[in-house]
Amino acid sequence: MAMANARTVRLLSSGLNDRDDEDEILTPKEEIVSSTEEEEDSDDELKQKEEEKEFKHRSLLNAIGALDGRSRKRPRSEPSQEVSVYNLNTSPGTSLEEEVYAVLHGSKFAERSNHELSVAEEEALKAMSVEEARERRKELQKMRALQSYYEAKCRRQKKIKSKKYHRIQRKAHDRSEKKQLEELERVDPTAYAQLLFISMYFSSQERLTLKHKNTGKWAKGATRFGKHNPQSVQAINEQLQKNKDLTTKISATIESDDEEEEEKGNGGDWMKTDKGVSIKPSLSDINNPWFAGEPKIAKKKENDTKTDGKVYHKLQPITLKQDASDASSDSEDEQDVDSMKPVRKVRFFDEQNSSDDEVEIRDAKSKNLQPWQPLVKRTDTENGLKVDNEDELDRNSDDEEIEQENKNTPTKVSSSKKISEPVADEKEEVHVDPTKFFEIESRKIQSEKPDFAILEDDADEDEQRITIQQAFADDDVVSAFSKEKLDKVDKDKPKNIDLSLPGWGDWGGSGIVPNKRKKKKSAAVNQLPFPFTNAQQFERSIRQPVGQTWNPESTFKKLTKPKVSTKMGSIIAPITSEEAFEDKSKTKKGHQEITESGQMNFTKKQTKNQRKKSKGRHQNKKNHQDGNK
Amino acid sequence: MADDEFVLPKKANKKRTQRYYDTSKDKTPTLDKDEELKDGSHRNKKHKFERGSADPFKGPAPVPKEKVTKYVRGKKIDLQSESIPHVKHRHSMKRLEDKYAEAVKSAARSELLLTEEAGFLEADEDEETHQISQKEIRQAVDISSATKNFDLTLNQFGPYKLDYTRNGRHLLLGGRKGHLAAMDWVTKRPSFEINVMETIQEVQWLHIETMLAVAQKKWLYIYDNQGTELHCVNKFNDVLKMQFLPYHFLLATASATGFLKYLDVSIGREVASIRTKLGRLYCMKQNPHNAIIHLGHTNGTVTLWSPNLKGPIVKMLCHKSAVRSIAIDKSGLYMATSGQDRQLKIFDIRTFKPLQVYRIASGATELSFSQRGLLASACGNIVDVYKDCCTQSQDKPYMMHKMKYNITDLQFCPYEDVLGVTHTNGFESLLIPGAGEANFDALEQNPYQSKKARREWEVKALLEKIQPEMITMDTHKIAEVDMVTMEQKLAERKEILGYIPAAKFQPKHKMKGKSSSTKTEQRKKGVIEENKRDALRKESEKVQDSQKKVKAQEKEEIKLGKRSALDRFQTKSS
Repeated sequence: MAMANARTVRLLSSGLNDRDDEDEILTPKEEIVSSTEEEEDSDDELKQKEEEKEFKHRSLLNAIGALDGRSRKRPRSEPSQEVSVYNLNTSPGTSLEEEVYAVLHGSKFAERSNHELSVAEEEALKAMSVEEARERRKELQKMRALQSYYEAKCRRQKKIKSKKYHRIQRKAHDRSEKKQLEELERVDPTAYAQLLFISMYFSSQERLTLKHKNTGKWAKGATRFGKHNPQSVQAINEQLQKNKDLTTKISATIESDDEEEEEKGNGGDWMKTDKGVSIKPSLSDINNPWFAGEPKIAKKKENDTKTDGKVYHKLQPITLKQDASDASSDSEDEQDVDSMKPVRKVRFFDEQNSSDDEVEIRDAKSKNLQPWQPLVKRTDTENGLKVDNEDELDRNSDDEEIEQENKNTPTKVSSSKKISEPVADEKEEVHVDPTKFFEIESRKIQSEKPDFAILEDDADEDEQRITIQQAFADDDVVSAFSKEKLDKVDKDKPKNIDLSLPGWGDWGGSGIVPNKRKKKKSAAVNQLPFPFTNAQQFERSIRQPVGQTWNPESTFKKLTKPKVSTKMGSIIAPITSEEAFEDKSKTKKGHQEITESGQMNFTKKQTKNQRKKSKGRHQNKKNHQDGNK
Repeated sequence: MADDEFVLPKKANKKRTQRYYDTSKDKTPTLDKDEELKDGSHRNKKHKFERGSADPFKGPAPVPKEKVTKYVRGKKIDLQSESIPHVKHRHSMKRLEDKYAEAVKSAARSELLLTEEAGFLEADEDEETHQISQKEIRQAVDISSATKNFDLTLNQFGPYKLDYTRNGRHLLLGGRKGHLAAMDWVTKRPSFEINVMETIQEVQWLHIETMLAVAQKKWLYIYDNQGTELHCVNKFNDVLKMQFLPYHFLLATASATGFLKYLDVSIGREVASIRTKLGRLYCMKQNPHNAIIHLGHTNGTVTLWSPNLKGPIVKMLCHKSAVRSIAIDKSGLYMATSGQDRQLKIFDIRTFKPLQVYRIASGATELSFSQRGLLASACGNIVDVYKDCCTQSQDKPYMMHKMKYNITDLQFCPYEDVLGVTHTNGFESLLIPGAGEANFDALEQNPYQSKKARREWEVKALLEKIQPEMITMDTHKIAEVDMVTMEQKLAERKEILGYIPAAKFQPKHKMKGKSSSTKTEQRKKGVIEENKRDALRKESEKVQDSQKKVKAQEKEEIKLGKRSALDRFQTKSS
C-alpha cells in the first residue's frame, strides 16, 4: 500500500502525462467542480452548505482514495479506532512493528491526528488546480485523437496495393528528407554529422547482413523464376541499387581547407563527402588503410564531448522529463562512447561469404573493463561475433626446450593440430633447458687410452678441450638450437593477423579447416564396442596381450579358445518334443553349463549318451504304445 | 592381485571329496602352513606317497608373489562399478579377468623353464674386472665357450662392418673394398663369400639369415645366403646406415643426401621417404622398443623419426659438438650418445634429460647396448664395456680390450656373451660375461632353429607384421581409445539423431533354433527400438521436468512476490 501510494504521488508531483493515472485522478475532481457550480442555486443555504461540505469532503476522499488505491468512505466525525491502536507511543519491538512505526510516523502519508488529510494528500491537492487539469486533459484528448487519425491514415495507405503510388510516396519522402538534411546541414552541422555517422552504421550493417544482396528467399525465387517478368527484375535491381547505395564507401578526399573547418569548430580530421560535407569517419575506417593519414583525433574529441549531449538529446524519441541525475549519467555514457580509452575490437564475420568486412565498434560496455583484466578470446557463433585479444596470445609464448610435435600420436598430421588447438597440452610437453642441461658434471672414466690419441696426460687434457672449444667457437650449437626452437614455437603460435590489407599474404585467409576426408586415419579405436560403457573398461579389457609371444602355450590356447567349437562328423540328434518341453529350470541349468565352459563339445561320450537316451526314449515309446495296445 | 591366489589355497585344509580308492581319512597328510609360506613352495617337503592315497598337493604349484607382479599389466576392470549395468556383462568381464589372472600366473610359473642363469665377471679382491684379459677368460671357461673367442684376419678389403642375425647365430661381414661374407659363426661354417666389386658402406641382415641388405657405392642391394643378388633397390641411393625393424618388416636407411627412407621388405615398397634437411646422415640407430629411428647430427643434436611424420618427432641437443654414435637399450628407456666433445652421455628417453655424463679418452666412434644392458664403446683401438652405466655413475669400465687396429664397428651378439668387433684388419669376437640374454624364447628367436622351424617362423612373423602407421613414441597409445574422435563422433550423431544411441547390441546365441537369422534380427530390432524409445522418453522427461520446475518457480514467485510485511493490509480487490 505504502509503496503504491508513493509511486502515484511521485508521478503526480512531477507532472507526468501518464494517461491511465491521469484519468483516475481526474474523474473525482470533476465531480468536485460540478458540485461547486451547483452551489449557488440552493435555497436553504445553511443546510445546503452543510450538505455541500459533506459532499465535497466525500468526493475529496474519493479522489484521494483513487490515489492510494483504496476507498476511504469514512464519515468525518468517526474517530479512527484502528489507527489509535498503533498511535500508542510504545517503542517498536518486532520488525513488523518497526516498519509500521516508520510508516505511521516518518512518512508524509501518515494520517495525522489533528488534520483530515495527510501531508501528501494535501500536496497532491495543491499540485494542480482544477482548471489546469481540465486543460491538460483536453490537450491530451486532442493528441490522442490526432494520433489515432494518423494511425488510421497510415493503415489505409499501407493497404494500397498500387506500386506506383508507393513509389511516388517514397520519392516524396526521400525528397523531403533530403531537404531536411540540407536544412540541418546548414543549421547544425554537428547533428548532421551525427546523422551521417548513423547512416554509415547502417551501411556497415548492410555490408554484414547483405540484406539487399538478393540473398533472401524472395530474391532467390525472383532471380530464378522472374527473369522474364520486368517488374520483378526491376524490383531486384532496386534491391541491388539499395545495397550499392548503402555499401558505397565514402570517398576519402582530404580537404585542403582544413583550417576553415577548424574555425567552424568541426575539427580538422573530419572527412568530406562529395558534396563537401564534413563527416566523421566511422570507427572501422580508423584502421582502414584508405583512410590513413588523418591525424588529430584526440583534438576532435573535446569538441565532440561538448556538443554531443545536445545532439543526442534531440535524437531521443522519448521526451519524458528526466531526473537531473539520469541526464548526467546519460551524458556520461555518451562521453564514454566517444572516448578512446577502452577499445574493444569487435569483428563481424559474414557467414555467407566470409568477406573481410569488419567494423570496429567502441563498445560502450568496455568502460567497465579494467585495464589489467584479460579479455577472453571467444567466438560467439550466434552473432558471428569474434572478439580478438592479442594479450592472451602473448601469454602462450612460454619457453620450452624440446620441440615435440605430437609426442604420443605421430600418426596425426601435426599441422591440423596446430590449427585447431594452438596451445598444446602442457601436461605432456617436456621442457629441457639447454643451458642447465650442460651443467651436469661429467665423470671421468679411467680406461686405457687409444694408441693414436693425441692426449698424453690429464693436465694436457683440459688444455686440449679448451682448444677444441675454441676451434668450434663459431658454431655455438646451444644458441643455434635455442633459436631454432624459438622459431619453431613462433611458427606454431597463432599469428596476429595483419589487418591493414585484408587477405594480403595468405591465400585462403585465416581459420581454414583441413579437409576431413584428407585426414590420415588414426589406428586407435574411436568407437566403444558393445557391451562396454566407458573407455576405461575397454582399455582395461584389452590390456593383456593374448598372443603366443607373451603367453605360455597352454594359456594361449585357453585365451583364444573359440566360443563354440564342434567336432567334425559328430551327429547331432534331432530335437525331440520331450527335450523341447522339458522342465524349464532343468533346461536352464544344462544351458548354463554349456555356456560357462564357453563351448558345446559334442564328444564321443556325449553323443553316445545322447544315442542311448534316444534309444531309451524309443523303447519307452514302444512300451507305451504296447501298453496302449 | 589377491593374496589367496599365490598362497596355497585353503581348500587343502578343507574336507576333500572322498574317492573310492581312499583307504582311510587318517592317512591324508595335513600340511604345515607355516613351512610352506617360508620357502614359498611346499614341494620340497618329502612325503611318502602311497598308492591310492590322495594327492597331498592338489592343484597347480603356487607361484611367489614377486614373480607374478612382474607379469601383471595394468589394472583390472572395476567390476563393482555401476557402469556395467547388466549382470550378464559383469559376469563375462569377470570371466575375462579370471582368464587374465590365470595367464599372468602361468607366465610367472613358466619362469621355471628358464634354466640358464646370467652372471657377470667377478674379480679378486686386489683386482679389477677390466684388468682381466680375454686370454684369461678363454682359459677359464669351458671349451665350447672358449671357441667363441676368435679373430679373423682379413687384411685385404677392410675396414669392416658387421651384423649379427636376431637370433645371434649368423654373422655378416662387409669390407669397405667390396668383400662380403656371411657365416654361421658358432660352427665357423661360411655360407658365402663374394666381392661385390664396389664400395660397401653398411651391411644388414633382414628378418632371416637367408636375406641381407648391403649399402653399396650407389644403390642398396639385397642378397641371399648364397651371395646371389636378389634386388637392386635403385630408389635408395647413397645409403650410409641401415636399421631393420623386425616387427614391421621395414628397412630404414639413412643416406648421405639427407634422406631417411623406409623400405617394406615384405612387399618391396618404399613406405616413407623423408627429407631431413639435416645433412649427411652418418649416425643412426633404432629404438628396439618402439621402432623409432634416432639420427645423430653434426650440430650435436639427435632427432627422432617415425615414418608417419615429415618432421622429427623430437629434436634434442645432446652435445656441443657433433654426435659420433648412438645406442639405445632394449627396454627403450636409455639412450647413450657419444660426441666429438669426448663425452659419453646417457639420456632418459622418457624425459629427454641426461642421466649420466662421462668423459672418455676420445669420442667413441661406436656404441652398442647388449641384451642385458652392458654398453660397449669403441675409442680408437680400445673397446670399453660398461656395466650399470645408465642408472649409476661409473668411473671404471666393466671390461676393457685393446686391439691392434682401429675399430670400425661393434655389436653384441644376441643370446651370447659375445661382442663382435670389426676393425681395419678383420674381425674379432670377444667374450663379455653377462652380456647376452641367457634364456631364449624359441618361438621368438631360436639360435638352434632348424630350416623347417625357420620357415614356419617366417610365415608366422609375416602374419603378425605390424603396419608402419602403428609406429608411435608411446607404444601404449595403440591400446587406448581415441577419445577425441569418439566424442566428436558422438556429438555428431547426437546432432543428427537428437539422442546418443546405445552401444551396438549383439544378440546372444540361443539354442534350439532360436538364433535363426530372422529371430536374431527381430531381437536386435526390438532392443534397438526399445533403446531409442527409452532415450527419447528420458529426454522428454527431462524437458518436461525442467519446464515444470520453471513453472512452479514462477508460480511461487507470483504467489509470494516481493513480500513486505505490510502486504497483509492490502485489500483483496486490488
